[in-house]
Amino acid sequence: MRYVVIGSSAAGISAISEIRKLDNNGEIILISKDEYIYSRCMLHHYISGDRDIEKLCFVDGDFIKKNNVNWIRGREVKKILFNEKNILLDDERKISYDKLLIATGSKGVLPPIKNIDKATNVTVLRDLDYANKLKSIEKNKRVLIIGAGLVGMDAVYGLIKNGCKVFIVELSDRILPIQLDIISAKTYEDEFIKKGAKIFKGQGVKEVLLNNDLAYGAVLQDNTIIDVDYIVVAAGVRPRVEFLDDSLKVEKGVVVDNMMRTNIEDVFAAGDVTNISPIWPVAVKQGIVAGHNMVKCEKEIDNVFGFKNSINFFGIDTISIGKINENGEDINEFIEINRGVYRKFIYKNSKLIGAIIQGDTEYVGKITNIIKENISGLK
Amino acid sequence: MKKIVVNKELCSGCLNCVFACMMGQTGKDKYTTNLLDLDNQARCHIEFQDGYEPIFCKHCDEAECVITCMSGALYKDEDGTVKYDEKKCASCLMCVMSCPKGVLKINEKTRKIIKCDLCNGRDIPYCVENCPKGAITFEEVGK
Repeated sequence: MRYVVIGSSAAGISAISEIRKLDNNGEIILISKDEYIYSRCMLHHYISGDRDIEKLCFVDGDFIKKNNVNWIRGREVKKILFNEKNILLDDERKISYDKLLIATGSKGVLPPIKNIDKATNVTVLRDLDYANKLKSIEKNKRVLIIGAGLVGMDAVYGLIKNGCKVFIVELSDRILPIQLDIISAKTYEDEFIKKGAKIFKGQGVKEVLLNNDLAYGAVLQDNTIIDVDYIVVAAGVRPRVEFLDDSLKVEKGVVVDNMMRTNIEDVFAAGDVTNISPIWPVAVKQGIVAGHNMVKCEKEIDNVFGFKNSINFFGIDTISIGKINENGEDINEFIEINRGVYRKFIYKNSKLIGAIIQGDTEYVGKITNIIKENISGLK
Repeated sequence: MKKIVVNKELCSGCLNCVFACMMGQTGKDKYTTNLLDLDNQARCHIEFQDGYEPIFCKHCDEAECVITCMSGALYKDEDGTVKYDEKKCASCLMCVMSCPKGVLKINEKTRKIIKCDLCNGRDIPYCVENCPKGAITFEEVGK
């Protein structure tokens, strides 16, 4: 039996562990664009120099050897020939498979801003290559971050630590709008401003100013001009599916059932490429389920609760769970502010459906569990 | 593997388990253990709501903390114990958020997680050994 896994992040690696647990003899081939196994969630620690590439690795150093994996690294898949069960690599090599997992993740996209695609000093942040670009930006350079979500703020964090002058532009009225409310966001905004960042909220970038192929400035919606040396775009991601042809069903991501099967037999998908809940724990769970079913088709995913995230910039801890931006007559909020601890609980018809907890996260998991059950019960 | 099994009906909330956990980690005794030392926090606790509920790490089969750990710091060892390698930990709090039992918290000083390791292979964990009520026992449960 030959198992082929495309993608070496959370979903792909979790699948391999599971496959090897159940099948000691099968052949496992891992194909990845990445040259290393590393956690994308820790790239900001890499940019800032707090961790090197080895310390970004989320499995043991001997993972590949221990699991007897044939790893084709640094190669991209050009095409999958589903009818003949072959994979075509960018070096024209053909790899056949009996069972295939597509775990290619997602990629950063450029928003429709004038000239943004023409500049060479504009980048997204997704992979190590991009992180290396950010890492190489020198001290005191002016960097504009478009989008203050988790990826954008990760970039900000790393760049500030490296002494860059950072400008943040965010469409919403606060940073981290998906995870935080105004009050909890302000805690971090104050901290970032203290460290020298300038934040432009409720604003988008209208145009990038070009000098040949170099961006030297950005025009905001209110016509403010920011002079820049570099632009980082963190304004959304898309599943990495461009190498797939029409025979595989793709909607907002690769379509899978609760056993991670796609519409093509023996082909599975897991992680961000499915775009079900693009967060780490869901990718791991999907990877385990996919890996299991590639060997023995019997395992269903228990839940893909994805409305949760934790933030810990500058040692300030925040956990955001469930639906935190709800409005309506049936919504009630309970807020407690006490000695640097902020707690907000959001109830719908007196059921807890969301919480933001900042400053003291002790034993919060229990609350997550309640919210998870309440939200899945609401559906 | 052997796990800590809780029978909350028997618990009287005496906190001997909590104290034993603290002493066990440092090797100090009840006269010298500093209860305010952040580096010496118990890995279990008791909640007081409709009676006493001792909260212990279950070393779950499909442990949410391991699944959510994006640094590889939390992992299952061969006999099923959920172990923690603090050198790998990036203090992201995903495990604190995801543990359905609410066992985990962060040490504010070191920014590392406070995590039960079943006293690292000891025959009987300190907490179990010191429970006067038999509310917590150390038993073979499946794999």
